[in-house]
Amino acid sequence: MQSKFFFLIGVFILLTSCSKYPQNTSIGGEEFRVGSEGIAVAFLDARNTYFSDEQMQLQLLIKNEGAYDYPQGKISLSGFDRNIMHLTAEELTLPALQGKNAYLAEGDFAVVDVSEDAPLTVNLGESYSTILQANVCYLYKTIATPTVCVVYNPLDQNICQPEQVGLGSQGAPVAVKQVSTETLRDRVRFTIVIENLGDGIVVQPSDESFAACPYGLQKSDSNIVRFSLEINGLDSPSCSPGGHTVHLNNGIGVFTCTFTLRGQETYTTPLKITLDYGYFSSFEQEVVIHNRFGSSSGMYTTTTGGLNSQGSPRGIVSGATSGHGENNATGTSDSEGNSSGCLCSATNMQRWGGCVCLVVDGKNYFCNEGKQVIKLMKKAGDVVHYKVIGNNVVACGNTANPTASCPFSAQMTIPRTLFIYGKTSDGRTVSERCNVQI
Amino acid sequence: MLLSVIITLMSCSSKKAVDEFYISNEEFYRGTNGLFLDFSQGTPPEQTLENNLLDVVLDLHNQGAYFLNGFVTLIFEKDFLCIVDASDECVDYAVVSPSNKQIQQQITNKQQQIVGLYKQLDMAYALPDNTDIGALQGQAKQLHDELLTLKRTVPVINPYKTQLISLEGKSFFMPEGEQDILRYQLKAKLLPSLKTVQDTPLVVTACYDYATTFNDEICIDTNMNALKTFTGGCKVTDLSSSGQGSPIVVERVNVHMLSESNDYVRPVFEMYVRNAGVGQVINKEKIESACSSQGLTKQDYNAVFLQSFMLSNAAYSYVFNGYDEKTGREITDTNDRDLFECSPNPLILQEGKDNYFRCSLKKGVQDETFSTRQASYDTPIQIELSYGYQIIQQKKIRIEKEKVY
Repeated sequence: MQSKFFFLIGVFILLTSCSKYPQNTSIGGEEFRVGSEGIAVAFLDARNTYFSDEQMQLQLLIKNEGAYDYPQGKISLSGFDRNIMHLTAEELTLPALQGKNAYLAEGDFAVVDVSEDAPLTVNLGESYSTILQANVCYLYKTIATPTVCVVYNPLDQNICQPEQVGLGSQGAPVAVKQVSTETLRDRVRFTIVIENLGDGIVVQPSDESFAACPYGLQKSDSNIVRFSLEINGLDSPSCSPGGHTVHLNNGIGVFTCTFTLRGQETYTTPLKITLDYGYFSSFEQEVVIHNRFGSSSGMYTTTTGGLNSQGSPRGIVSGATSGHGENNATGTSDSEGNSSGCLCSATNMQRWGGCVCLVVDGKNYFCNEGKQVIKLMKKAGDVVHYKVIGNNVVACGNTANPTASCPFSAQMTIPRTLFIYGKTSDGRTVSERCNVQI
Repeated sequence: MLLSVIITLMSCSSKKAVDEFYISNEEFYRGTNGLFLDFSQGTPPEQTLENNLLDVVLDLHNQGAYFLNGFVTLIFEKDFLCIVDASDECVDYAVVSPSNKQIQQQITNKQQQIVGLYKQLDMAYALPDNTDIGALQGQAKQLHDELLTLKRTVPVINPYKTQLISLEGKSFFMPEGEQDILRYQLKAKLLPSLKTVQDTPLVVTACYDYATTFNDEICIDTNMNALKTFTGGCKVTDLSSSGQGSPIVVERVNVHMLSESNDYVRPVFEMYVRNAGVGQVINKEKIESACSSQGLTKQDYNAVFLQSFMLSNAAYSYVFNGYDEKTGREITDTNDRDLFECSPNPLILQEGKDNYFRCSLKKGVQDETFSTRQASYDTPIQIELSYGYQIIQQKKIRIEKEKVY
């Protein structure tokens, strides 16, 4: 009875191993090798709307949604003006993330903080809108292990028959879609069809291409996959195209590999197909940043100011403004030129934490980088005495002497563009361009 | 809270605003209107008798998006018409009343202070737990009161044929733009004995300085030779606009990305400008002359100044150095730190031709902003124009001899 039982078991094993309809998976854990995702990036709790002066405090949620463990990679941000959004220009290293497996059905994930050098700044227009991109370049692998029928003698089709095997996906963006087997005398040839099923771009798996990814990536770096095939007990196959690399056309690549058989037998066996490639994906987030101060440029024109009389300074931190760039804050104007009368723009406060102003004939002028014309009731060629005063600065000066004490006195011939300077207590240089006209 | 403050501010202004509620100025920077000027309905009468008084009332309305300061002058034949004083006697006139000029300067200063307060209020609303709002509201109200008082000190009927005007543009504080009326009292003089009827023209001219600001976003396209696989978020395209709330319109901006080297792009912009209004562009330096007997010379017409050109949050800019009257060109400044160069400035608008300013990043500027080692991205662009503008309205008056029976 016992021997009969073992015989039946043996027959069952034999039958299943020589099945006429081969399965496309044969190695343990294959149930996780499904899907066409690799590394996915999301903007964690990101808002669409921000305001100037805010910190974005961006966080990226990075997930390995494929089946390949610990891919090497990098993340960078693009699609925005770095003079507005001061997000790090450094590439972020892809965290070490396990792929999907029996214990981690969704794959591993990590949260990465994006550092900011400064808060958001919108100086032009009412708002700035853009599509922020998180770009990830990584090296990934696809492993497919379809069971194939290896036939020594083409006439011998009793154990299994070579045929075309269709595959779905293998837990990676590039998938083996189809394996066709062709029996030759003492050789077997496999024709493999692969396809980029993901939304990204396949990148040649070389150091140079990976380094160029994504911004320097050229078309010649793209759509190249390295492949290898393996059958236990057989030598490495000869493949076409040579060099074990295949180009994808319209996302699809085809290659063939021929194994030389050793034994005079027919059997089914797993064919291990490994695809190596780099992959580039971009994930987007729409962002609008509103200018808190409104668009003030060009809103004010004056008649009597004459030449260049348009435009009041934008975003003055305190105090009202009057024509010709004169600071006219109630109760703070100081003809002696101490710092109380020098009012800083929001931009200067953000950039330097202070600013410098020009004092002529007892009046304070905020120069606003030359956008504000300082019109003096003088003739061309007149020599004008002026002072440089500062707000939150420890030194004042002009081009010839940028770090003298405050207030700094000098003279100039007008009209001219005058550059004045200051130094903040933490050593930063504050500069201002003054457009002095007659 | 914000609504109540705006309502409060509106109620302080000289004209009531419409009931609509605006939270941004953006929508006011549309259209091609500037100053609307016309005779009020029924004034002056189409015909009058000699030695009779007649009212001339002008409606003024700043329908654009910018503050407006300038002059309005009445032109008539002195043989048939005159302006009268309080005792209805014909008077000679100065071009502009000196006292009015002083008041006007004070009005302008007050307006500028109000604009400053608006900005502070705008900022205060955005900041949480800001305790300055009440104080700022109080200051704004006080300034508005002072402004009204100043405006009342300008005589409603004055014997000067040229008057100063100052009108606020459309904004969310004044969504319709400021309106005003000017009144002149004229008298028809006695006709010569042989004349029984005389037709005489009455011309009113407004001359003012105005601005145009064009704001948009353009693409810094770093994929110049189209070899890149990842092109980024945008592609370079030309911009167009139907108007920016002023009669001079930046109607198109053509964008070109030239190669500075393999590693950098050099953006070049062509900004097409058109007079879309009903008036005449004049030299902004000579608006008083344009509204006086001094008049203008041929070269004072059609000059539009590029006040500034800003790119990438104003990190890259061109700022006008000033006008050299001798050469008719921009003053050369060897200390100029502008990273863009623009020409011609001023631009003389020519009928039937493409009129454009050209601004290009100076050669040799190799900043990361323009590096090709990055993806394409959108960046804000701002173009500010300034100019004088003149509009004219006229009517014919028939003066008849009084019949004596």
